[in-house]
Amino acid sequence: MPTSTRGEQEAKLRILVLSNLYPPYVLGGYEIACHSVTRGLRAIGHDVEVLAAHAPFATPDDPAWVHRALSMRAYDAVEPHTADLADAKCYEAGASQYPNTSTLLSHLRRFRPDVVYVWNLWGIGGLALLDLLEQVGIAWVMHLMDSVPTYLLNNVAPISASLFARHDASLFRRGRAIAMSEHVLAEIESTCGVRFDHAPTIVPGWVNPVGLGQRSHYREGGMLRLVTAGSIQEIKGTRLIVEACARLVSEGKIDFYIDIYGFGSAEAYVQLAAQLGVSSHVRFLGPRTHDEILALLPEYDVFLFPTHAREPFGFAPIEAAACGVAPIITRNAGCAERLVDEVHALKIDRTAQSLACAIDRFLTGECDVAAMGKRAARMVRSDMNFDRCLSTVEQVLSEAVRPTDFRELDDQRLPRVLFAKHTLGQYLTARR
Amino acid sequence: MSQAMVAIGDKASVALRGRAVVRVLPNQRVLQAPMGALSTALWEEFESFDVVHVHQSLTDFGAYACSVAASMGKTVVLTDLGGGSNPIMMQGGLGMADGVVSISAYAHKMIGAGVRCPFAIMIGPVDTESLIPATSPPEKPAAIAVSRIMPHKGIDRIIRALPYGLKLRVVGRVYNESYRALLGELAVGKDVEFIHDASDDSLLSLYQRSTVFVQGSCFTDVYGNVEPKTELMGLTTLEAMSCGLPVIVSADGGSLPELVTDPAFGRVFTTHDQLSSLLRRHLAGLWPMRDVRAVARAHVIKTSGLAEYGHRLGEFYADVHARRTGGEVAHSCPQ
Repeated sequence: MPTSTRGEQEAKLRILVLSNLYPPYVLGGYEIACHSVTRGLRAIGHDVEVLAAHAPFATPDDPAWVHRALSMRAYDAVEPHTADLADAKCYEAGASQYPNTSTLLSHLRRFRPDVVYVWNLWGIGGLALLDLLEQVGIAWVMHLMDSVPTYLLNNVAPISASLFARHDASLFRRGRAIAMSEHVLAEIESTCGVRFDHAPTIVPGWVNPVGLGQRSHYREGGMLRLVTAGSIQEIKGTRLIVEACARLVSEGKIDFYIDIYGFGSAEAYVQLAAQLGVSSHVRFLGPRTHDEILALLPEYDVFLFPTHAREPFGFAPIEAAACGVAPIITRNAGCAERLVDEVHALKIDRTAQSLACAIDRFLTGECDVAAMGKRAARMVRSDMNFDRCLSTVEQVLSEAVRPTDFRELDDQRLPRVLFAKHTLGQYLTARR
Repeated sequence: MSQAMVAIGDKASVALRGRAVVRVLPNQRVLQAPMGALSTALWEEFESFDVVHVHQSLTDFGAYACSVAASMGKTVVLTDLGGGSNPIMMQGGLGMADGVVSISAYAHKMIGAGVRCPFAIMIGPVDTESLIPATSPPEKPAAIAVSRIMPHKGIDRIIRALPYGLKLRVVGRVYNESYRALLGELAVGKDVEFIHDASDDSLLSLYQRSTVFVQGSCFTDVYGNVEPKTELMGLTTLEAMSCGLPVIVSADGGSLPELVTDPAFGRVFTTHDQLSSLLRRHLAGLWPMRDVRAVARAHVIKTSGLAEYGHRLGEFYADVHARRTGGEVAHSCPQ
């Protein structure tokens, strides 16, 4: 049972969610997951508020508990044109933006949360925000769906970063962490040396099976239907998909097609498909909303996910699996920790040849796509059920709560320290 | 009360000064500047202390140290020793302080506008146990000026005013060669001895062989350059008084007039003629009018001696720490 100096014991938590983006302002799965969990926590009775960055468009449907008050210094269309400007922007993105730190302080003073639930902090001066939480002793839990500590630390001059993260990056060790995969934890440790004092809790990507369709008939008409969805780019394996397709066609294996949904610059890949003579087998169908993709998935047999090796997890193949679509995934992607090779998915080396080989196993029937799809759906709908994951999140948040002396928030020295650290970090970034 | 001292240097080292540990941390900053040296290891060093007193607080080092200490919830005490004017500290950073110890009223005036916390003006300290008068005073009058050889120290003013027949010893390391050359030219035909490599022991001997101390520091030097922070605290003036010497100091020498509270053992000059007159009167045995060695020394022991200074500083630390932690404030701050 969490306690606080508010003097009463409460079964439910006051949770302040802190995130750079928040739907409908979406760039990837991180903020969609944040949105899902936030709604889930509110649905089970917790008092949850969200503090996020301004969206670049009107969000009239925002409820009163969503506060878009933070400044974002990332994901701009225009990059800084000098090294000094780039350094300054990285500092603001990773280390500190005083207006954001001050805004967080105001919300802490007003809302007095039991715990701050921290999501992606890149772009909003994340180190200073965490440092503030540490200075005032408020419990926080960081949900890691990417190597956020690495972004925050490695893009800032070390001496400036140390102002907030301490000499040994121990700032991160003090909070609790939820991670999507062991994979992302290993990457964080190897790239910036951060380990956590409390063993992080693994909460994988999830699906909410309510209303989700499932494939019932496979390889209708002898045709293997493959799909991928997400952003169209090299790291997601778009080129590999086109090249694997060409390999199969060149071997006379033509009873398949691949539909590619997603945003991003597809022209180069469309051209590549044309050059390789596989335009009729690979179709670029443009972006769809998340709900539209979920509705489309049961129309396919196989989901392709030849993503880069540092993929922290990947919601898409899990959602596909829940729809009975058998995933083919990169062997060391984060989601590979959950999907058993040859049981729930086929795991590949990240090459066109390996991908073509896996597709061919479904084409030839060596691997029963229907059986695999059904097994995958059964496992994901059970073990990676959203409610189950939410319960784990709730438990971690509850355990993180500690007695908080909210008088620390009213220390008159605090804003001066926050401001001085922000400007000193800027100064040291420019004068290393 | 346990105590330790941390500084930044080229490489790591540890020394023991009395009961206090002095730890030197290696500079981690690319920029190589004495007042700009930084070490992230301060996070570790401060861990076990309640109060962090940052002495060169207006330097880059000071700004970093204050930020770290305040972030850790430590009670932060600041002092400006004149080493810099870090813009972060000058524009709000002083607000990180729980207390300020200024080494003179003049030094406090330099930063006073930015200080919103308890402060103490504490001139010193001086090692009055080591710096003691000679058992018998010198037979012949002899003046001494002790400082770095730099234009804003106004040594040229002393040599120009030096009467024939009065010996002057100019003691200190040379930081400005052209100024040193100028002093040499001004000293031609006068009894001036330059000593640039004096050890602590020989400095004591030099004080003891002198009959008057002269400090001529100025805002505007002989070249027209302005030094706004001239003499935040005239340590050598206090050392001389500890050795029983009467002192003559410049009115435009920053804190120097504050140090001279009794005309019996200290005078302040404004013009060349005033300084010249004072030196001539000293040569003639007209000032001081009596043996003031004991009076001068007693004054320094009382205001700036190590024991008294340490006691007052400890009280100040305890006071500001109590204010930060919500404990009982035992003393009013010595202001």
